[in-house]
Amino acid sequence: MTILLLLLLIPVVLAGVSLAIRSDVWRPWMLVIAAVLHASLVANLWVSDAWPSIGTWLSLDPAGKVVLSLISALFLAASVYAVGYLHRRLERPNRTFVTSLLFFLSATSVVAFSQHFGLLWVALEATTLASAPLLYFNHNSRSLEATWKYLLICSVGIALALLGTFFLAVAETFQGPVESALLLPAMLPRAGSLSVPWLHAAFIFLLVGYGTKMGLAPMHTWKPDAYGEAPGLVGFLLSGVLTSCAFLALVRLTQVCQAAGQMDFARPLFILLGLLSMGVAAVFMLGQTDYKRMLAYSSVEHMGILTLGLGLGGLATYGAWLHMVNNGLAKGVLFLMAGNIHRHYRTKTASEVHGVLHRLPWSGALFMAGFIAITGSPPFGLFMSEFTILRGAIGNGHWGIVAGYLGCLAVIFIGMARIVVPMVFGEPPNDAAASGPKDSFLTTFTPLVLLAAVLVLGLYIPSWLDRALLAAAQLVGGLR
Amino acid sequence: MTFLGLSLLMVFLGGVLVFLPGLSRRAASLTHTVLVLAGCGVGLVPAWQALAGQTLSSVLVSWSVPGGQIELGIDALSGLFLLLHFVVSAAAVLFGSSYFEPYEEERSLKSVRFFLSGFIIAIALVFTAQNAVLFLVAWEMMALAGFFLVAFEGHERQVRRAALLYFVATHLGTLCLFVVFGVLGMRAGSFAFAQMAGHPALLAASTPIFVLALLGFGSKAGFVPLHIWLPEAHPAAPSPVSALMSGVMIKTGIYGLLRVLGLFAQPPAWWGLTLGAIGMCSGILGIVWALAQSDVKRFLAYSSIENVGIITLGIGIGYLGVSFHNPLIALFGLAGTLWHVVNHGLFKSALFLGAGSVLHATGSRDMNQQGGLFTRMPLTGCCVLMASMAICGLPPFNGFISEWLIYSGAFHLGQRQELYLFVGAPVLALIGALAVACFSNAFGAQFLGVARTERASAAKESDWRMLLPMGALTGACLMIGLVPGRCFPALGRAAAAAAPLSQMDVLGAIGDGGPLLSNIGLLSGAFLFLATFLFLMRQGILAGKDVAQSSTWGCGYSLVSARAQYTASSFAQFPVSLFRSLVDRRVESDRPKGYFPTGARFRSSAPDLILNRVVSPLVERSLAWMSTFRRLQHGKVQLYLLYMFVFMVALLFWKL
Amino acid sequence: MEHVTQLLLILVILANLFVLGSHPLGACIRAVAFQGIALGLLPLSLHPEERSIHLFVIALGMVGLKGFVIPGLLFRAIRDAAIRKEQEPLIGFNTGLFLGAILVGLGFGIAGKLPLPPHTGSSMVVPVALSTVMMGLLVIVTRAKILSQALGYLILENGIYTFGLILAAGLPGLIEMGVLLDIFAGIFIMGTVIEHIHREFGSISAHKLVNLRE
Repeated sequence: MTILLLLLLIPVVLAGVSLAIRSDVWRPWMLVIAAVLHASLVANLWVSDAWPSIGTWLSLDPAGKVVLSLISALFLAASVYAVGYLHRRLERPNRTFVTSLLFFLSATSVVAFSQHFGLLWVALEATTLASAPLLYFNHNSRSLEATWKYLLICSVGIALALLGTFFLAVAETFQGPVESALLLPAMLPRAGSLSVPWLHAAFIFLLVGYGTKMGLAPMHTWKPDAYGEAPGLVGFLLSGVLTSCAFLALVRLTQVCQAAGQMDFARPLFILLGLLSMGVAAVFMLGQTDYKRMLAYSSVEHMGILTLGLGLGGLATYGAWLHMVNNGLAKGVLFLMAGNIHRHYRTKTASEVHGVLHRLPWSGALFMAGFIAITGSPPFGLFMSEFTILRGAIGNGHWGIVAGYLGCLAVIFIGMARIVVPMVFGEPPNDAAASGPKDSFLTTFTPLVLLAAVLVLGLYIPSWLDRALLAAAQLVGGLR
Repeated sequence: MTFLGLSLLMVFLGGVLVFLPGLSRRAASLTHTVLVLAGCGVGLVPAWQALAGQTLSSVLVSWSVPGGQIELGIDALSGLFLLLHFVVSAAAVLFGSSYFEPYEEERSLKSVRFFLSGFIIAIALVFTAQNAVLFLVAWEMMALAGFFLVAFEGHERQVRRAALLYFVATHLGTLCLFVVFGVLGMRAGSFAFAQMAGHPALLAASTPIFVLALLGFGSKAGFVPLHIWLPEAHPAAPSPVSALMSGVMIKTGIYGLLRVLGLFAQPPAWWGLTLGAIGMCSGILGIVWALAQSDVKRFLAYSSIENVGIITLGIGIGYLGVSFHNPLIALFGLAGTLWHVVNHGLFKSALFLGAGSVLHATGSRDMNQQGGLFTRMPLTGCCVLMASMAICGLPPFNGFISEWLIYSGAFHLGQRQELYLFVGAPVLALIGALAVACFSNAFGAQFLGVARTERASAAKESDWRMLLPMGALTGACLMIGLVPGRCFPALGRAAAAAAPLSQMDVLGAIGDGGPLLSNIGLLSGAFLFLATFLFLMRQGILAGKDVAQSSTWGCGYSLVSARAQYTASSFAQFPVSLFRSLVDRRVESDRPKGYFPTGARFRSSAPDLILNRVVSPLVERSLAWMSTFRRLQHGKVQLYLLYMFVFMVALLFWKL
Repeated sequence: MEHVTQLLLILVILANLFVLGSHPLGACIRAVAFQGIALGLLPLSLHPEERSIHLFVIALGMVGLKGFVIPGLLFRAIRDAAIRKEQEPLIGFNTGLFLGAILVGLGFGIAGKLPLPPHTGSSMVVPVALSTVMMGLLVIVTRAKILSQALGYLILENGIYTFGLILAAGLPGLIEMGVLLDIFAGIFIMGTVIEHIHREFGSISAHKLVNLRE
């Protein structure tokens, strides 16, 4: 109870403090303080095996715990990087940025704890609003355009999710008024009596709505703009943290469908959206010219993989949970390194960047390694999760899905390799224009740690993590 | 197994210790070379034991990844590949310690050494993994390390392109393997190879597994038309790496194919026929394309495709033997194949090291730029000559033995009175003849005649660290050629491990083939003795007498230029013209004009037919097609919302 | 009360059609404000038997927020940005109305596939809500000015809110407060962004916002 309150309130309080701090140099450290406190509280949850709750609305369950831990870990990584990054960007005031980041942390934590569909919606909408100022950090016309698109599309999406939430409530109260409507633990036991047509309609609206937030095709259109124009740091938090929160929302929805015995309705839709997202990512990855937008499409792809895993069920669901963790970590490496490269070369056009390995040895090596990791090559963790999902698909005997899945992975690999390899290798340009800041400890250390984590997950999954992932997967019929 | 662990640990340390701060260049090079050599030496022990027929206990450690299990085991098949691997690796690393020295002036070699060690370890794991997940991890790590090694000179555009092509090809192959092992594992309920072998649930999926394994492993081994990365990546990579890649890495494809197909107790006959057909195509096309090359490493790459073709033909013959329940054919085919794997590994890596030695001395890979190197680099020349004879299948070298076994298998098949089974032997003969043309061309253009360029005329013999590996490899080729009877039982054991042959049958077949092979060895020895005797006699007769040397008679023309020699391209023009429909030969020339021509120019090249005429246009076409979809992301936010809206309404109407 | 409910619902639809009929921006904002007020009154007529404080608070909050505060914000944005009052629709008056009519039909079609929840008050609530949502989307899609897009978003929210009224009694007040707060904050941030866009691009036409593509 206290832990839970602290987890939610510490970022808010520190947000207040950071509003009061005058110095742009000192303010970013608030992020590190918040992240360290948050992470140590979460670590405490693991050590003491506590499952705190406040009433029935906010309580921790296995799925929430995994997402919360991922949020905390990624935010910690991001906060350390943010200090290095913001110190390089002192020409821009960072008061709004830091405050929004802290609110973002708090809102995402609420999502992880939320057991009520209404509260879940409110918290997810709050994350949208908190991230809008983050996207607009650069204050130029392109970032403004991206912010507007993000805001409009995600607002419409989240509004549809609200409608879906209302539909769900109608489905629940169809047989007559019920105690504590929309509360997940109360809804699951009585899921059998939900009105099926309303549940189906609710599912579609929630899928489209939270799918927008997650960036599934064809609702992904904001993603390349937002990720492309935001600082690498923000891209990382959106692609690692926010998408995981949206995935959690889909998991909650799946829990209801499963309890109501409607998985036969849900599965094809998840699989359709998953494959569609992967296909769209594949098409747009080929011939992409902007390396940050490339990462955005990679995010679309991986969200597709998660949804596919959720739709396939069983083994693949376990794989999807593992993949969520891996993807978050690997995206961190890529986005942060893309940020470093962007700062140094002052261009986002891939064809104007050569010889990163020469100019920024650490960033270049990490970017390359991140690329290898994100495309699912051993020895990195994404191989294990993607292979597990593939096994799930094979186990179900869906040959078309297997073919589509691997075909998309292949095209995406080709597309990314064509962009990344010439960037990392090659002769660096001689002109003075591309001579931004070099690698520093703060801007390379955390990505290195993230990469090490992905590597470890590919070679060894600790038993505590395995148990937690399995427990989370079991909520939606996963097994190992 | 302790030895294997120790060996891999030493190789690993060799790759990691170079990162120690404060280590001088010399010390780093020495540390790496010594540790890797020692590791390879130790690794030979278990490989040898397994081949000698000992059963080695396997290592089983639980591994906390889904489906994974660290299970390492060495049977005779693994032992054979492992033996080849450690021999070639040791040679390549020792060679590399000298070869890479000039690069050290301008760049750090730490990463190369690291990836070289990683490459060696990964290949060793591929050959010993007994669990599919571990196998896949090792497989892809091998591919990754290989990529970084090929991209060693990644600042050059051409190299970057080759590395990218290699990377993509290998990854696509791996994706096929994902399905192969996914299906095997899910059906057998376990990822351990031992559990999969002969599992009844696999039968229903045998055809997709066969096809995908063919694609996945074939792209690594270089089956035509999946070979496209090979002729690009081999020239791009540093020579010791090319030696390792051609000598060992492409054999992992053969190993994997044998491992996976060996899981099935009763292979259908069409598998053998398909493999044989692929082998024949790869063999003929590979050698024909090789003829048209003037870049020596590119030429060697095509020759590798040809040899993989022979190997695959052998597998096909062996599998037909299994299907027809004829242990003799099966053993001849498979043992011949495995033997050829080892032999090709030895002489091809010797040839790549030889090419590296020449490149080191003259700075060029173009055969048409060399000439007369035999007098300046006699030891390199001798090694290359012997390895060339071996690769052409000439006695008394090892190539003859393995090809002879495959021939025997083909002849025995031919006795079944079905015409299509008879084509193997003539095709092998055709390939052999073309190979002789190829290698006499390549050797002649580089080592005979007189130097065509200044660098070639100033070439110096390489140092002992380059010569020793080449000498050792060619020496091994000769040794195997002289005592084939001794090696045959080990090969039989490896073949028995590769296919479901009963022990009795194998022993019987070995009993049939062994003495014959010993006789061949004896004849070879006698031939060698005679040749040596004649040579010594000539020396004795000529001793103390003046031997005059003068230039070739130029028909009275006194301004003979070195450039008036036969070049590799002109030598090959006639055979290439025979196969012109199969070769994408491009010629640029300015012919001499008028009575007093001022200048003329001729240049020919033979880019890869499949890559340039099939794959590239296909890729461009599909890129163009896909880019039409990219217009969907046009920047108009209203239409983005419309997509969402339409999608939602469609879902509502479809599903509600 | 049934008639009052129907009348209010018809007013909601009419307001939608008015906006779709490409009237000047100011008039449209007023129409949406009017729609907001009508929606605010709906809970009272939908649940006549239930006169709880909860309902009154919602009604009051709705009328205040949707009828006055948010339209006020939008008017201020118009004044600050000195925007010309025309809407610059991408489709004509007739097409707009025609599509609007189709969407009303679509709303009724989808609602027809769903069983009518008990205690709804009027069978028209669900179709009206759905068609309002869709017409809001249509406004966003067919308007070139981003201010009009914000207005469309508001209509969409109104549609959702109409639907939410079915549940007014069933939902805890805290959630509704959260929802209202989020909507308000959303519109507020949109307004801020619109202001920035006007400063940066010198116009608020969505045609200018097409630099990011592929």
